[in-house]
Amino acid sequence: MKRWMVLLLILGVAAAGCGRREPVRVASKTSLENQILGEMFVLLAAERGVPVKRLVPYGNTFDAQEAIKEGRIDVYPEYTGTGASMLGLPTMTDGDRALATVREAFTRFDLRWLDRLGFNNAYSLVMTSDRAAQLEVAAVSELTRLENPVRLGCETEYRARPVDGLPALLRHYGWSPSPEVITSESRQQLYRNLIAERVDVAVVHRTDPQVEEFGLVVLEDNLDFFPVYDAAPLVRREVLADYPQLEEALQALSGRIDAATIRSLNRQVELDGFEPREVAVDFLVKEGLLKKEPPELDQPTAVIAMPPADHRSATLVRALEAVRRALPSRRVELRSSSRPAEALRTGEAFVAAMGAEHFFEVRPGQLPREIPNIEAVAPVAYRMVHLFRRPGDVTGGDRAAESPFAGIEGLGVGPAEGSSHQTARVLLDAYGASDRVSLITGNVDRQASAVKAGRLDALLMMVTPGDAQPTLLLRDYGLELQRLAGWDRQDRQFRYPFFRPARIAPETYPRLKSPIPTISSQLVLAGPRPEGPTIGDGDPMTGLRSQRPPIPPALKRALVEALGETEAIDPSLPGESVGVVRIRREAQPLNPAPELSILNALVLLGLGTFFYFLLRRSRHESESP
Amino acid sequence: MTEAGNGPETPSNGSGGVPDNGRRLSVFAVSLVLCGVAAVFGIMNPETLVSTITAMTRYSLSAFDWAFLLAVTAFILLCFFLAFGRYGHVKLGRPEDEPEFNTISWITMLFAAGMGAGLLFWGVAEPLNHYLSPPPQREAMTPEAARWAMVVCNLHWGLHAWGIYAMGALVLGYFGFRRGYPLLASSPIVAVFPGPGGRVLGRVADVIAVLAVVFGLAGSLGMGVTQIRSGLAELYGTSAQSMPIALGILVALAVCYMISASTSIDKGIRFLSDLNMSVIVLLMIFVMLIGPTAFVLSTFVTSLGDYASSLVAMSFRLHPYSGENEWNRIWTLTYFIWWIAWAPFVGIFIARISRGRTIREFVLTVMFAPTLFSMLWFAVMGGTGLHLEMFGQQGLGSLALENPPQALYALLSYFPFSQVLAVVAMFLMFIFLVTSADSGSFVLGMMTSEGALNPSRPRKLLWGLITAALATAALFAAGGVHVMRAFAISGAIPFTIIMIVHAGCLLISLFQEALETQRQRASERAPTAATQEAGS
Repeated sequence: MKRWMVLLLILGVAAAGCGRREPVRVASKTSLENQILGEMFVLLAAERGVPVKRLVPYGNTFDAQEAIKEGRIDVYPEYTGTGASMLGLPTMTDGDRALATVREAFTRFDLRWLDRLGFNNAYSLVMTSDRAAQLEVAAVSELTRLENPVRLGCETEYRARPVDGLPALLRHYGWSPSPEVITSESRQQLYRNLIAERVDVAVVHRTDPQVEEFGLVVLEDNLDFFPVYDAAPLVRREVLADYPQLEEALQALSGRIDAATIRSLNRQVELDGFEPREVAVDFLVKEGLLKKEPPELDQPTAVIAMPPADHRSATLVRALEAVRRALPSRRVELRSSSRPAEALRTGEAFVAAMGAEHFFEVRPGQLPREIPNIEAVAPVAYRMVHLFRRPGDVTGGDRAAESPFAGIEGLGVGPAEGSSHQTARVLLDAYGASDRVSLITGNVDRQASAVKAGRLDALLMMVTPGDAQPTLLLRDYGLELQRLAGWDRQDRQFRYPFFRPARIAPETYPRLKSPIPTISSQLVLAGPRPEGPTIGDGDPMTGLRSQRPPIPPALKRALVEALGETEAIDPSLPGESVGVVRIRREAQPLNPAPELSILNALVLLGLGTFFYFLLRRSRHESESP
Repeated sequence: MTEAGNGPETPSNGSGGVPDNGRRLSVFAVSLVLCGVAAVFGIMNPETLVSTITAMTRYSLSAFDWAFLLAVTAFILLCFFLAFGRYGHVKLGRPEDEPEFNTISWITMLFAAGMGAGLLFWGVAEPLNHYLSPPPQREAMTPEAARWAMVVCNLHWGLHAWGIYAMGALVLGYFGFRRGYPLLASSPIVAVFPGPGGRVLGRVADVIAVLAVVFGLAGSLGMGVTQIRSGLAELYGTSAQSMPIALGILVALAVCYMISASTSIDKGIRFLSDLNMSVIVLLMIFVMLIGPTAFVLSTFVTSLGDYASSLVAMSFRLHPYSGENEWNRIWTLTYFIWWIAWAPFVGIFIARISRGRTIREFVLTVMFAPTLFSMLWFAVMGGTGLHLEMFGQQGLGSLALENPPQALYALLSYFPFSQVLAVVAMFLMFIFLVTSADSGSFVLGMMTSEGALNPSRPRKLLWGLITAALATAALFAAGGVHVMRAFAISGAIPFTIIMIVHAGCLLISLFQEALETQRQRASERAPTAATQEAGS
């Protein structure tokens, strides 16, 4: 008994001892760039032996500011400009002055700004190089003096920001004539508008990976309007006193991350779909700041299977982001799979991002067969068929309706078993061109140049209209879009209900003046749909499941919400729409299953016999002498 | 009047008690032959075997769900009736028999035999499953869903499970130790229906019981091996599909349980069970103290009340109006069918170790001690999981849905020394399997040697080898887990009927015994009165 008490005492003291030196709570804001930086802080602190509690991502600017002032978090990456504006200080365009100002202003909260990381995530005006050359513009002031009003794109929020937003920009530069402002809901859309030349100039963050991706020109802020947003660690002084090595660890990053570096890091996360932590580890190891790769977080991976593609479209990345939001604390990874439905069934993938065409098996001359055991869970977007041809080969009118594939022998379809490949199979079968046209798989860019050079007749892509890749193909290879009319003829719509007629809207691409009739299909997140009731499955012994259970409604809702798509799932796809009340099925007859009645009667008879024997035996015993 | 009978009662008919060489051979031989046939068929044509058995089970469950639920509930009611009624004092054994094992070891052994490895990770995964994907008419991911998740887990692992086992064991214990019949599935039937009809029925019951145990055990072993293999893959990054690793695990398991089986219960099974329970209790205390202690304890208290107050309704609840019987079938009835599938083996084993206990003591301990422990376990492991999901880092829930066993490792990863904890969990799983297989070979030995209380070593080892061979075959068969699972539940439906018959036999026999006691006392009283008179 005494030994137990001693043990308890020791445990108690040990627990109290642990309590005094709490781990450092490293947080970050929710944007991907901030998450990368937050992960770096976590890794560097841990490398120097500082106990760390990882709170990446933590919340928005307001959450993070409040939390660090109240001591709920200890350190996170912040921008000097944001720090200043949160305290209502005037905006500053000089980096050193800004840092000095916020350093002083934050001492009263017992917070310290460490040295800057080396990049400025300020707003900038960007243009495509073509357009900049056309208008002969290199600096913002030159843009404000043009004869015709320019079309300026920005995100909705920027238009409303009081101190450093659009109105202030216009006032600062005395912009005349006032630009025509076109706002976008998302950054992706903003860049799409810019690439498709629906706007001439856009207000973006200087560290956005798209700036590099699309070769955009950053206009010089020659009247010093845009305040600096230099990134730096914001730390509680108390923690620095407790852990002197923390300062050393974080200062190691000082000046190491310039604009190009952060852009490429952002790119890996935002466009290539890697995890912020992986990207942070890679960078730190390459910089020699991390001696060895840290142990992987115990975050089990959830895989999103997708048909092979050589380009991660904005739509796919959006789906990836949504899954990450719906499955916090899981590592989410996009993985190419030539049979996504199979990956779902075997449990290799948690969900699959696939187009309607991948829900069906297509064989020439046969009706498409629905692949069993999968269901559509959440809608992502509608994609449209883009059939690229050389300008001279494009056919129109009735000819396009009867045989849009006329004159095509070699049709490029991108990677094997990808969305475009599968789509092409369906279309060729539908238009009765399977035997004339041979499908060629390969890299899309190389195929586009092959079309241009005449080595291929056409290139087919299933893609969201206005996406960067088709825009660049149209621009760089001088191709045109073939009309795919007449889908509503010859019962094609009934044979292939998952393909619906649609039109690529004018102005989706530069120089696209009239709508292009084509075919669309929905891209969805799909999940497993077990076959019938899984009796005897999920046993109490091992819990191994022979069939993946379906994604539960709560998680479906979370995915739908995270995707923010309001359109419901295409009814031609298997799956139940979330939130839709099913209409009562037809009236059942009085006895829906007569054979069950007989069997149940037999059971009752058996029970009757049982009780009969029970009672008879008992009576028999009590009566016998 | 309620006083138990005075002397050991000899069976009214010799054929049940006295070993009959021809009959023993036939049960043993018939079982062996049938095992062989089923195994060969299962391995040659796994598809057919799996689909036949699952279709049969599925159909029975959807056609007779009411009868099935009613039967399980009736077992509980019957147990209560026996414990609290006039038969509570009846001892499973002769009046002078004392319990062979102390109460703690008794409880640990019956727990280790009855629940085992599954509880380990379902403790985390099941409440999360119900929280994310709740029973009909509940809103997912709400506090209410969390509360009901705990109640439903307790329903699945609580009194109903142990009621089934208690019933199975009570009947055998009563006829075995009190009426002097061998511990066989046939004994109750033969005792009450001594005619040729009863004997044939008894033989069929014996064979079914042997087959249910062999295949149940082989299936469980095979599944356990895959389980440990994926645990190793999780921990050390070995291949999760590798056949050599699976075989290695199976060999290690087989060696351990053969060694344990070749010793007596007292040395082998008892030692393993005590070890197992100590480790599992330590793990639970660790998780409780390092995790959200107060939350866990409130969860425990709340679920005690919720479970008690909804027990009656849940014991009878199907969903005829909402047409959502599906859920019931997938979860509740599936669990019950597994408990029944294991009942022949767990029942005999519990009976074997319960000699000398009164019915009341037996029922109360077998039903309530493990139930309370499971409830605490769910409150600790499931409660911690729910706490993480609801108030901490989310994400455990989706994992629990996708891969229940992995949820345990994921939960442990939030704790200090998580690597050590994961190894401990694997160790527990291994020991649980060894214990199950050991008691399984023991029970099979008993069943095929006329219910000998201590079957010969060669017989035990032979069955140990046969199960290992079947498990190996199932591992190699296409569709591995399916085959094993089909193996494991194949005996459930027929055995439900046997259990109902058993229950009837027990009632008749108890009634008979009470009457005889009454008569005996009446006839004793007369002569006693006479002698007293004579003496005075």
